[in-house]
Amino acid sequence: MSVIVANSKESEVQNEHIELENEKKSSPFKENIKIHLIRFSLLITVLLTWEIASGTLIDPFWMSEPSAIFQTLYSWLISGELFFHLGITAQEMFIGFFIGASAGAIVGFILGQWDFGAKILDPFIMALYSLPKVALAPLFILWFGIGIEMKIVFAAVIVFYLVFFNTYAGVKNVDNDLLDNIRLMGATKWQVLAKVTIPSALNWVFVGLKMSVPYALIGAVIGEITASNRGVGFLISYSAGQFDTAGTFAAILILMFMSVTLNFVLGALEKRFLRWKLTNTN
Amino acid sequence: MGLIQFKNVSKRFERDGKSFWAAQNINLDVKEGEFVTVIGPSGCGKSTVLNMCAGLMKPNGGEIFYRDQRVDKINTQVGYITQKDNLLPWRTVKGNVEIGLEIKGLSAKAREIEGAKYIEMVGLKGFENHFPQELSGGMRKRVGLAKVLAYNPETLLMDEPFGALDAQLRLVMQDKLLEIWKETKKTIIFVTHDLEEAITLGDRVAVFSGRPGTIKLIEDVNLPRPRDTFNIRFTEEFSKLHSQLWDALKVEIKEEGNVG
Repeated sequence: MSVIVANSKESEVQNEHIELENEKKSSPFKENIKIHLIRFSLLITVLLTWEIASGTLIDPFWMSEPSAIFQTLYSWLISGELFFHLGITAQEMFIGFFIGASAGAIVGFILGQWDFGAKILDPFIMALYSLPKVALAPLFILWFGIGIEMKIVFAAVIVFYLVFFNTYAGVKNVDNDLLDNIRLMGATKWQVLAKVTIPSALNWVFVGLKMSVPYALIGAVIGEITASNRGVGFLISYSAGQFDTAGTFAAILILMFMSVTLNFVLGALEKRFLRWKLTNTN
Repeated sequence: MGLIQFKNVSKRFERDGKSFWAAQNINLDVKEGEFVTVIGPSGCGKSTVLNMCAGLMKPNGGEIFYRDQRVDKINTQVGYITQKDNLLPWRTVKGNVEIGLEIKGLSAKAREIEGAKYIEMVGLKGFENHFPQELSGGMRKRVGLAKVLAYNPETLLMDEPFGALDAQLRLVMQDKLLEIWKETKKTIIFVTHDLEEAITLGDRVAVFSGRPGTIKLIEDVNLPRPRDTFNIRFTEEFSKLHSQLWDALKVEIKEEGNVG
């Protein structure tokens, strides 16, 4: 903030003062409650409108209605179907994520350190990367069948690229001055790697991981929609195939719940592990 | 024989396809335990000279010897405090200060004791668990200083280490540095743009010319030690030396001003 010397700037000072008073009046806690209340009423309004419009303005065949959707959800919950399918999808996603992320991080690290190898492999990696992954689904069905394995491989391939590119960039972007600095201290090659290169790249790796979790879910679900007999993706395509609009919406809702939960968990993890990054400069 | 010898050292850089000499025919002999300060206009290759001494850059001409060994790879005998603080952002103050001790293989306990000593020395006690991003520029500089002092290298190369500090803190840090130097008998090459600082600290002051930088004048500072970093500037000896060095420096800075 600038220091005010001249009289002509007095009006500015007053403006600032008024703003400050306003800030004091509404506490952040109250502000929070207000926002939540508005959000909640917006949701209720949309759901109510939907409920009323369905059957009066629009044929419920196309739109279904919230009450029917929740009924379907409830029946799936009671029958155990909900957690069965959710569990299958989560399993595919996590295993696929784990395999893809580990492979991506390891290959990214190696190529990040090994310029010659990176140069040679560059066109191949880019060619495979630019290929739309969905095109691989039929091939994977051929190789792995329509079971859980195919979805795992599919999710892993998608995750691999995201984590790989981020790790590679992370290793390439390590500050040279930091490397020189620790080498001057007499660090061995391994110490440089362990104390500077890896922690520095980790930040990028984490960005890659965070980005790729939703993609792992996408991979698993696309795999399920393509060909399967279980999982949330199957629920969606099966319900739609039965012209069960409520079921389709219910399955989509489950999927949404999964991805929101995932993002929340990731955000919390990031806060915990990258505290140094999030703290404010003051 | 000196500990560090620069023999006709020259360094050329390329920028935008044009090459220019950053430093030319540097000859300097630094004795063991000596405190040499280097002063000159900005961009005259002072930092380049330190980089070459640390083995981070190779000279295009001439040679540098450290303990009679040619410097042709990273010189781990020197601790280098660059203008940039080079702290690891994911490590706390404590973690940064202790890194050199980790590399040496000290136990956690020993690191803690050693580290704490230097954190306290630079006046950052209570900030051990802060991350660099949470500190001001001056504080980060002090962490950088503590980091290098903690692992106790034989020679210190310092590139305007106190440039970012306010005038009072600067005096305090100069005082600390002289104290450390006296205790540890380290060899120090200290680059600064502040003539008073150069005289206050150094056994000798080397004045650089503008680009291509070369040593134009080396003057002994015959002021008695221990020196009072605050009061020394009011002595007659000091002002005599100051005006003498200023005369040499003035020309270079004027030329730089004309170019700009």
